[in-house]
Amino acid sequence: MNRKDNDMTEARFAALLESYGAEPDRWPASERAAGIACSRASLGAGAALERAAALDALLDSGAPDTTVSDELAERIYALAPSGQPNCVPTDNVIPFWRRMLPATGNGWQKIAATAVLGIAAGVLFSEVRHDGAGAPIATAAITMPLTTVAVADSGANIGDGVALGSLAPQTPAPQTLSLQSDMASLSFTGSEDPLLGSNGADFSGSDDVEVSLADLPLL
Amino acid sequence: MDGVPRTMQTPSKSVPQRVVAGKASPSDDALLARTAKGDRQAWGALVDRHLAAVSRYAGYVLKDETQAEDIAQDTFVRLARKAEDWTTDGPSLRSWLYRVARNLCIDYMRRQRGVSIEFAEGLPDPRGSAAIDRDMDMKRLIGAALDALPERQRTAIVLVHFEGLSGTEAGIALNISVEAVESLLARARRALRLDLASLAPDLLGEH
Repeated sequence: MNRKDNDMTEARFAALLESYGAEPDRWPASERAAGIACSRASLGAGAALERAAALDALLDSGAPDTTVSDELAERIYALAPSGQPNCVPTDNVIPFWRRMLPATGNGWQKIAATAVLGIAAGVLFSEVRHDGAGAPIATAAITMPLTTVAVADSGANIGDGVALGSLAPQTPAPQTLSLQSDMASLSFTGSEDPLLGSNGADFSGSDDVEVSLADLPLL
Repeated sequence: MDGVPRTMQTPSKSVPQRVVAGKASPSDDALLARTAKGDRQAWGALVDRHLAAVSRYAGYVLKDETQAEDIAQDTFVRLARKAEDWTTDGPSLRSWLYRVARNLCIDYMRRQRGVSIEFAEGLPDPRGSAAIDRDMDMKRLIGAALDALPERQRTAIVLVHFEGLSGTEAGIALNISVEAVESLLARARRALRLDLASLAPDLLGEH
């Protein structure tokens, strides 16, 4: 619904103030002129405007002064597309190690994730199998590319297509990675989508929730 | 891009305007079209124009500078990939960026189990307001009041009040109607007034 100036009533003016505050620039453009006229039409409207302006001023005084780090800006400048299809440089986008572990949360999660990742790395790069006679036999290295790996219940994510860098074309297909040896057995389930709930179109990631995490399913 | 000022603009009382006196800046759509063709200057201009706001928004939501930077970065990764397919008949770039950033924030919070999307840090108990130091930092006070809002109310007030989006743009970012945005804004402002009035009644003219 697109309200017009001639729809302005005292009630609508009050609603404008309640929603957008006293600054006309924040009001819908189609109602701005009528709103300004309404604010001058009565003492009551003027008082309501002042009341809204006081809250505006208080909020403005709390606006944060934050800065964008040079490092972040340079990383994002470097993302400039080359003009070639499906070619966005992402080499330096995200420090790989940052996403190896949960960024926040319980210490035990980080410890558990670190331990599991360490075991996985050991198995990946130096898998050894006993053949029954006691002689260890090295097996071939596993070279399957890894996208996103959800580790058990720790909540850790090992990167995604971006974190792993490279001139990534679009993301590869989902895959499951299973590692086994006589000494240890680990199982990982790969999850391609780095954004749970992505619609894959214009917008990425989840959409429109107002829930507590306690209501969300575990991984 | 050296020498480009990167200090985030403190949100002004009026809606941010991007028109340079006597000469209109290239539109976001035009810059994206040039970006898709490999124009690095156009990309830089887009980054200069929007990075601070996206990063600030993520900071509002996550209260974690490092994660906010990651969210801003991921948002622009997606923009870089989207540039080639960008169409001018879709949502404005600002709306698109905020929506992507918001969704990324939500996804991040979902992964961090134990962190409530409602951010229930809350305000200091108003009953203790008499004990509050009169010199308490106003930014911290208002930040706490914003934190106490439900996520969608806070996003609405951040986008419209602090970042200067129109109700329509905020509606696109939140995937709701303008009327729903206005409802969120009204509830947010009522809650903020209530909370802040107990702590700074003189500043709100409420005695």
